[in-house]
Amino acid sequence: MKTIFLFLLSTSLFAFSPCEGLDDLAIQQGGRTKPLYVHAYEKIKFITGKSKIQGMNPTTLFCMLSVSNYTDVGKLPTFMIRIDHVDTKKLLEFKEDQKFISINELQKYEDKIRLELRKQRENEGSFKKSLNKTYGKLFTYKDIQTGTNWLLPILNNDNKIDWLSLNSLLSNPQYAGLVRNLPSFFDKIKNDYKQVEGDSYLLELFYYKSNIYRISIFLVVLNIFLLVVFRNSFFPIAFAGFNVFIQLAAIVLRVMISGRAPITNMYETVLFSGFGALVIAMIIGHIRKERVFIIGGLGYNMLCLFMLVFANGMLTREISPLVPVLRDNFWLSTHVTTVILSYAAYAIAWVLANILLFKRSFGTLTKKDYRYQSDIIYSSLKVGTVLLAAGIILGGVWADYSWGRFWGWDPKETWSAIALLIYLAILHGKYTNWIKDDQFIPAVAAAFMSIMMAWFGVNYILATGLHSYGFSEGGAIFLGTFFAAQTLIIIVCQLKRNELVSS
Amino acid sequence: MFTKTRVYENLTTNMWNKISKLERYIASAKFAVIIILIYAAYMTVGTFFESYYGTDYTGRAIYKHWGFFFVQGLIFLSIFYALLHRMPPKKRLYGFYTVHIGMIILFCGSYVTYFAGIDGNITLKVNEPSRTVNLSRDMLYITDHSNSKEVTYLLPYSAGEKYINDEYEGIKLKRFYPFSKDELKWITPANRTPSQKKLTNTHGSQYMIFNDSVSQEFTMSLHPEAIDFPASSTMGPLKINYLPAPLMNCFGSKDSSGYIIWDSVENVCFTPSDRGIEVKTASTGKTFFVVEKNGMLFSFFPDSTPWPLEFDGKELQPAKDSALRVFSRNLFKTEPQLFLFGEGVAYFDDEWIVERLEKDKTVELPWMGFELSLLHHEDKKMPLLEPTYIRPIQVNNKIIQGEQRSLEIEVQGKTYWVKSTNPIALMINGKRYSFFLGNQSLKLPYELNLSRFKMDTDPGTNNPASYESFVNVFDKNGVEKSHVYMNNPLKKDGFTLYQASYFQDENGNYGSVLSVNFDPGRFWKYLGSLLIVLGSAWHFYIRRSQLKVPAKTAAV
Repeated sequence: MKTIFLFLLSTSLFAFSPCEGLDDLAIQQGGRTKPLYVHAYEKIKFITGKSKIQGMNPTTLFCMLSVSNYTDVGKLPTFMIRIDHVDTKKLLEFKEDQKFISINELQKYEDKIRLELRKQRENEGSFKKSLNKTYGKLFTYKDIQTGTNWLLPILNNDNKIDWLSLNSLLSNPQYAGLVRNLPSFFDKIKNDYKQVEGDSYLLELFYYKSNIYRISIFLVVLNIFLLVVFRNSFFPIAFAGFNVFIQLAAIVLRVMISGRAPITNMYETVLFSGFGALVIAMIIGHIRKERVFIIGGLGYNMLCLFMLVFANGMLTREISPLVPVLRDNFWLSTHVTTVILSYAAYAIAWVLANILLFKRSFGTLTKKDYRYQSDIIYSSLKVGTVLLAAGIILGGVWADYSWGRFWGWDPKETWSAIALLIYLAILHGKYTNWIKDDQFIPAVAAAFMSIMMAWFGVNYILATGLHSYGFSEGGAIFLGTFFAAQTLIIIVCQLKRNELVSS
Repeated sequence: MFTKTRVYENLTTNMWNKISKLERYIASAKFAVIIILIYAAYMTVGTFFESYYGTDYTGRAIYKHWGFFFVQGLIFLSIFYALLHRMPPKKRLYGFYTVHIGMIILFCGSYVTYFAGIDGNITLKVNEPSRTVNLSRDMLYITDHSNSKEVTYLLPYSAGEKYINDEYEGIKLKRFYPFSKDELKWITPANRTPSQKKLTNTHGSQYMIFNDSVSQEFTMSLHPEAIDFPASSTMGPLKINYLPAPLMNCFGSKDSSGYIIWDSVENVCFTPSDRGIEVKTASTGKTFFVVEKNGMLFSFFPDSTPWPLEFDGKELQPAKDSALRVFSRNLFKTEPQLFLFGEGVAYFDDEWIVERLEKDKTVELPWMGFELSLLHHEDKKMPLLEPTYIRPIQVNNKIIQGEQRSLEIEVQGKTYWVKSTNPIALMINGKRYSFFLGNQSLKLPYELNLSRFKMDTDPGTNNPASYESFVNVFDKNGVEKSHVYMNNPLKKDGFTLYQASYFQDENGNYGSVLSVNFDPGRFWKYLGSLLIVLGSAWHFYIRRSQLKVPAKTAAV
């Protein structure tokens, strides 16, 4: 009885909603044209941390909030905002154990937050960041509510598309009649846009809704399992080829949507390095006739996919326009691609080195196997080093081409050079047998920390200002945990090292 | 003779043995690993410095410091001896040779760029031709205005403070702070002229004004030499006036006319009612009164002029050199005006309120919940902003403190500070000199005129999507039009000009910043790079094909 009543209630709620079926409405925001679903998803997720509230699709939610000032849409679900910072909680007068605050409640504190932000003007700390973020959520909510957060495609008399905000449309007497029939209005502009500009923008909707990376996680885990279990079958290798194909499709899709190489932000570099590692692993594995490489590649690929799907605080999957210096640049694309591929090759070595560390400490290894495995790691390092050296130099060429200096001791440049030097030191030591396998393996595992520093640390630790020590941001926590975990693994494995069995 | 030569030969063999042992060590992979790790550690420190103190400081303290060059020199030696000790050429080392020769060429190319290259920028405003390129080194410009002669002095490129101890025509250059901030100091001015000794009312005070959301400290002084500290200022709609201390008594007076007369010789103030002076209205409707001093009569028309009127033979004129002057408190009733007298404060809030200020006591003001407190007061000393050396502080990629460069100079026994934020002018032996601290500059062999600057934004936003400069280049052959934008530099006479940045002036007009580059080491750097990449691939390829052989034999 209760469920039927609820069902009736919910249907009656949405029965008159003007906001159904708008996922594929083209809108403009942040300098790009995209389907409403994509934009709504990101905004709702930014405010509430979730993409759905009370089972309501983000598009409907976004649209209803946006038109609620102009037409009756019934009762909107409550937006709950999570506050984590102790001082922000104190400012908002949270009770003990309270974690969330409703947006309406939060709005009462707007002046207080603003005042506090002004007081914190000189400070740089986690409190200020938390306040800024909270204020940003409040602002975005209000921006949506006033109908200014999205621009709609309106066909003008020249048969071209003008982009106007809902707010400016509805406050304009010329369009005032629209409010009475929003569904048909939305329908009309949707079709108008498709007729004038085509529907290629819908690719992004497909990409967003496809869940391709979640599916890939499953496929890759399955692939690793198959490789470990069926040691002599060709099938797992073919399956890895299938995984390469699936991920290539995802990358191609993204390239078609954004219209540029998939290497312009953190999200894309993680995506590309995971894919690159798998490809490189298959190539070296083929040359060396050794499927262990593929296990390493898949292992790293899986970690990257996990980050893409779950580390939203650190990596934003939103596609946004590029700053001018990064546009239309052959050298930049080549440079970043090469560097990311070198990271991928080093990542294979890193995964394999860690596996070997574990095997040495918690399993039995013959001397011959140990030698052989460390030689495999050495091979990955060589590929990584050639690629990284080439990548850094291409970076110099790009910088020289774009602003006339080959090298400028910029932290990103410098850290990539530091990483290269560390690997070079390992290679030189290994070359002359000064560094034995017992030091080589942990050194390779540890050296990847320099890659992580060059890749993430420069952006998440160095650039955000060391003064804050506010390891509150997702990236810094991630890196800190990574460094601590890797160091711990090396120490534990080195302490508890089993003797090698002579074959 | 015979034995002597033997001893000599022994000694030299011994020495040569030691030297060749050292060379072998430098050529070893062990040395390479150690020096590579030292180099990496040095760079790591550099990146953290960069995050703390910014690019400029880090360049001076690390990347362009002799210590860093020394380590690079050791790396160079390591590579050089590694090559030397693997001669004559062996086939299996071809890749190795290529990489290491590539490194040496890259090194040389970089040093050519460093020593002979130019990396600066030129700032262009629309229709303001320029050919001046700013470089990164600091320079002192001294201009002798009597003959418009300019001399320059290149300042040291250091991270810390530096004593220069150089002299030019009696101008001594003393301390140089590449990074500094001004610190407030209270000093007793030295070398006073006799007229200055008689000065009264030279007090200065530091206050803080604050409410719940803002607070500001400010310092005011009546000392004539305290040029950095005016006696009046504004803070939003609030006007602040710093007045001689004795005037405070009159502000609280109950006198109904509202006039205060100030006697700057006696250093006293009084109101008309204090001295029983009658304020009258003239037939023209204007108020006037007469003050008697030392048997002389001074007539005031306070609504027209603060000075007493004097008959110069033809008509009445204000006597601006008079010791007496008048002003009307009534004028200050309409807008927020704060009067400070050192250790006292007066303001109008329905009635005139005068309060004494003491340290650690605040006075509430009638505007927006503001409160005032006295932080420091000096009767005779004058405030001075003296630069002190400070490491710059960078927050969120922006330098927030320490960007000011300061140079101490001594002229005729007196010291002055020339700051990059504040050029100074001095009279030396009757000639006017100005001192300016700026960047080293360079004149291009041609002149650039920005005819238009274009900036496109991403649709629906204010984020720049591209910047483009339309530039006319004037040289002896005439005018040449050029279009400079991202990745499309202007190349002319060995210089390459890139679109680097833009700015907006106070009127909102856009201007363009081009980076100017001359790089004689470019070819060598590219050649070296190419050799490194090809060589390392080759090296690993050779190594691999060699490794295969023993693996196979082992299997057999």
